[in-house]
Amino acid sequence: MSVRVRLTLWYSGMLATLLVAYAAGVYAWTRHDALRRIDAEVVSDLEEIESIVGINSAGEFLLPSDLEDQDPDELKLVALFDADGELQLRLPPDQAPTTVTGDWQATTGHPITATRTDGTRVRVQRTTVDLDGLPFCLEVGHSIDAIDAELAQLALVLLLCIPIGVSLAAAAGWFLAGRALAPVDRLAEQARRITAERLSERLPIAHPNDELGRLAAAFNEMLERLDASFEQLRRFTADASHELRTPLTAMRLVGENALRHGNLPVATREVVGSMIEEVDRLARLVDDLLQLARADSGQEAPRLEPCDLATIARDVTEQLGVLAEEKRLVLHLEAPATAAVLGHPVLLRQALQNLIDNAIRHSPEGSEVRVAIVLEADAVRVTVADHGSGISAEHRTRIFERFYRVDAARARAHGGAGLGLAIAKWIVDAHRGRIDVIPTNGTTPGHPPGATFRIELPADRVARS
Amino acid sequence: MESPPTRVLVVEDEVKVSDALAVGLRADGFHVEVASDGAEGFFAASSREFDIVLLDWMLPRRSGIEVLAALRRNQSNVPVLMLTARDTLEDKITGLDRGADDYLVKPFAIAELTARIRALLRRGRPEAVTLLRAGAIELDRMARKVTYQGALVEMTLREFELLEYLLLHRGEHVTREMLARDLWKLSRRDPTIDNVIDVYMARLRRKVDADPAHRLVQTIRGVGFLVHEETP
Repeated sequence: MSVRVRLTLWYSGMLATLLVAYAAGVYAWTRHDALRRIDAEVVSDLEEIESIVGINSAGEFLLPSDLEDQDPDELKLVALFDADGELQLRLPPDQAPTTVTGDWQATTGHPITATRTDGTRVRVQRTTVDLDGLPFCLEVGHSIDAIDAELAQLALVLLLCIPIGVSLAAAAGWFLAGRALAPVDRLAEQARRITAERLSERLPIAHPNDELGRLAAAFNEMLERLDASFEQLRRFTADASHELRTPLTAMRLVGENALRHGNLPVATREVVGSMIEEVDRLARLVDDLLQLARADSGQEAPRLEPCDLATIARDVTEQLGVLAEEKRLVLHLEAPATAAVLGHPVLLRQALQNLIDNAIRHSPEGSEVRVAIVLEADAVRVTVADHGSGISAEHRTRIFERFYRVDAARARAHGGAGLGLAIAKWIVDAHRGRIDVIPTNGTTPGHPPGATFRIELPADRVARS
Repeated sequence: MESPPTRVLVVEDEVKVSDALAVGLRADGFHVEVASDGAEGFFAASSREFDIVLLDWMLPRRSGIEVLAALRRNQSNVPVLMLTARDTLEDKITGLDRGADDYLVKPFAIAELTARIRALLRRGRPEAVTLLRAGAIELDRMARKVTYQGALVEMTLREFELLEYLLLHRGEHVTREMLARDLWKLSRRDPTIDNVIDVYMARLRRKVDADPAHRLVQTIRGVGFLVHEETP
């Protein structure tokens, strides 16, 4: 969930909670106030009537005569019950009465809401009056229908307003969050464009003192440090290439002079020759290490151009074919006439060569190494399959690491330093491709499965269309 | 008749390297002078006549590339071979752009250096010989035919090219780097090519150099191959 969505949700959620609490407060207060006012009227009416009510000698109840005929909007409902809750009198006589139970005495003294027999509600106060020595329940009530209707209306208005208000606020919040976050997106886009090769670039800072300005400044400081360390790495590779190659040069030249022009005994010649061979091996290792170090520090981003992988593969298999023949291996290439990719021909050749050489070295005599190029929808896939001892699952991901060896003793016998596959992987990565290794298909049971290295490179669409 | 020795100026600050270069080149018949920094190298190159200048890239006082640029500004056409520990393509392009005639990445073999010097000095004069002979071998460059002890020998194109190259370099040391670059057109030190060269060399020997008592091509461990001037 994006920050924008989260901000908007938080914002609207909090607003909705606040609005609901506010509406509840308004509703409760309005209701309380209305009841308080009506209660005051009920109490004063009751006091007035209580002071008048009586009973004459004929047993008729005496009540104010103006109660008979009232303004229907402000009805004072008066009722008199006997001790058992039997209704004795009600005014106005056409109004539906409330009901009172025998224990009515508990309800005297404070206003309560009672329901009339027709279902409408009234606010009443009851009191005990003593008439002719008998206790009666005098009840005075005001209808609260009007208040109920008003409150219902208020509730409706409040309930309608909350979702509308919240949606409006959410829309505004979404818009504002979008506006506030747009510079962050721009910042991220700009930061993404600064790669290892262009570390000297900095993010533009529009307002140095706001949050985004500080973010950009912090980012720029980090770039500064990164740039410095990459620069150090670059200087290191340049220095290392000089410092490592100069003594190798001296050793090689001195040894060669001794071999070419000195009258050395055969045994000594062997020793010097062997040392020069090691110098060559070291020189090759330095080449490989520096190539990888330069790649790491972004100095060796290859310039990609349209090239034909099929031709490169034919060249490599032609060159390495004699090595296969010496081991009585069949080196088989299956490739379309052209396989157009955007690539660096020298590097692609190096990657293929490392894989095929690796396959030849690890194949038993008399077996087959099969190289295949297949054109996929928008990719070119190269597979190099051997029938050697294969690579078990735990090594498959690590085999492309530098100096990683599946079997240390065997690899050393082959003379490799363990950088060939790492370099192949770097090359494939630099071409935005993928490389992995799986067991070879269709091997005979009982024999080792062999390894199949797969490279997938994006196809050159321009050349294909 | 002896031609005057080729005069080589070596501009290199590492004493061991320049000493070894001087020894190796003198043994090959060159006249060698050594300058140990850029300023001294520039002074020597502009005040005396040399047939070729070997110029290190990283030099104290004045870098090799600056010396090269200054020489070219002074209208000096002396062939310059850059010796450098830098092996990136950009470095190579920079060197050649500034007027270097060739470029050799350290570490290199003296055999290769002398071959390159010879190539630079005879530039523009292609090898006119069409028939190459050595011992019982006869190679016809036009007809692309090889006979050994009078009999026609079947050869692949690569084998033919290898034999031709060896015969053109008789009396010289041929390194694997030279073969890789000139025959296989590989610019970089290639880890597989040594084995490939050995295989071809073995096949070639079986076909045209089978007599162990009269080897035309002698393998020198650590150096490469020595092609004998005359089969002994």
